[in-house]
Amino acid sequence: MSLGFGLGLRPPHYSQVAETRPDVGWFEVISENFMVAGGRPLNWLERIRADYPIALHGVSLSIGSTDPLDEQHLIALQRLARRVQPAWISDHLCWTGVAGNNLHDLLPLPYTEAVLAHVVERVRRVQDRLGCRILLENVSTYAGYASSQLTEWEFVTEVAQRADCLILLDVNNVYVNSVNHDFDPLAYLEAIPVARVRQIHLAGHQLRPDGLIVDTHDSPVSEPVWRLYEHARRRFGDVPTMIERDAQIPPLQELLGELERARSIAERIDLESRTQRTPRAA
Amino acid sequence: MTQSTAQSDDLESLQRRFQDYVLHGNPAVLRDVAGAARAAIKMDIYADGYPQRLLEALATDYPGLKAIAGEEFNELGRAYIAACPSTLRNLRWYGQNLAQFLASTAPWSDRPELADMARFEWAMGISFDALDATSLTREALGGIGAQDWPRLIFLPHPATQCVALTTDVPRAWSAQARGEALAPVQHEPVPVPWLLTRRSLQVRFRAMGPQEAAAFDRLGTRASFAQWCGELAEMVGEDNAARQAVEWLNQWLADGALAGFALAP
Repeated sequence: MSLGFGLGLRPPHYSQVAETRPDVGWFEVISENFMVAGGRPLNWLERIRADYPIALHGVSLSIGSTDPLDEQHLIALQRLARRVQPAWISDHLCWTGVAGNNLHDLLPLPYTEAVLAHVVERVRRVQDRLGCRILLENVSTYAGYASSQLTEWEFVTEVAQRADCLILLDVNNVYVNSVNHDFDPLAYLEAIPVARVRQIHLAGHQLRPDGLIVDTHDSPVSEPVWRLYEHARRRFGDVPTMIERDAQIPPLQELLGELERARSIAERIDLESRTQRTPRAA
Repeated sequence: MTQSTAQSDDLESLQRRFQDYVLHGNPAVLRDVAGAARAAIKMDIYADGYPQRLLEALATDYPGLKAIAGEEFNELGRAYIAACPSTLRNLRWYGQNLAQFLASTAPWSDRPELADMARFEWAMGISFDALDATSLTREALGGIGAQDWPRLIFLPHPATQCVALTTDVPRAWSAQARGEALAPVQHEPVPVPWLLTRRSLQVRFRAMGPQEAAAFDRLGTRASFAQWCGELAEMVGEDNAARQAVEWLNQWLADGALAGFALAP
């Protein structure tokens, strides 16, 4: 059974979540924020974990970097997973730095067979290490590469199929990239294998005067993204869905309101699907 | 060279060119970016975002420094970011060298309160998410037999930090935390040691006298209680040693500064 609708758990909401236990199916936390020895952050996490399933969402696995996988990071992730017993572990299909540096950003990969082979081999090693399949999220990108031979959706699909990992489908990022790189977002959704999608992200973005969109997570989910989510719900069904907000974080009630909109869209789509499947009386 | 190595080299070269643009503005990667006309505009989103994210991380870790530095905070932050590219997976640790940077880099080294505040706030951060441990209590000490006391070794709580400051930045830190207007930072005639502890997940701090700080520091070096008392007698005099030992131990227990004890062989 799906975990339903969740939220990104952020520090301004810790106490309210722990004390009021809002009607949310699950929470996602940024793994790195809890890779600490102890103290208040882990205390909040354990209190909230007692009431809700938790998904661990990393931002620095750097699965596409040509630097070696960071052994210390994997140890810290394993330790956190043992402590939290997460519903699943996810990170991003990107790289974050090279030559020992970290740019703390989700950077684009060229979509080529060679890069595919490089990433697939590393995903397998991480999954072997963690003892579970991981989810990789499609990221927002601003620059693409002249050397790319595959579309983004082909690349995402091939990584998931060849490495036998799962997909965290960020619907906002699909929309952002469709504008930034001028493709049809519906074609993207149609190409992603349904069985691989384990989670959906929704978030806000900012449209710049030059027409590029930046994935800022600082505003409500936009109308085009809500419309794209309807298509995603039709295609992928009852996949756990959550809203991310990382800047200009509003009161919890406001996010719960947005989540309610996701629920009502899902209920409407599910009802439509059931109606269409029901045979008409003769 | 095998084919896969060559391919990996290609990706590594590309990633280095990309990173060089973000860190140093080297335009070589622009040839790799699709859509040459807008390549620089697109790459600048990454290049502008990098210092912005690190600056936000510094502002989160150093609210007191931001308060006393005012408009200079962004400038000193960007100087630190330029001098210290991140090599860390976790932004939590990015600001670890800021105090040292401010103490050794003009013009900020001319304002010692900046490095002091950074030192103080970093110590608070270390205390905040240090390993959990139960604080030692008077009741637990009550169960120790008189014959074992000379061999007692006290263990500081993992969240306990000591930091010596040449300015009264903890006062400024408290004022900014309460949202109050900041008074000018005062310079101390001699460095003042501060004790930071964590009780009920809350970091607390207080100034110590130089003798108390020296005694606490010695206690944390796994000196036995007998050794420690002997050195305390030299510090405060035989007549005052027992009273002073009891007073300080009680204070440290109340602070939650100690986590346990062991017995020396």
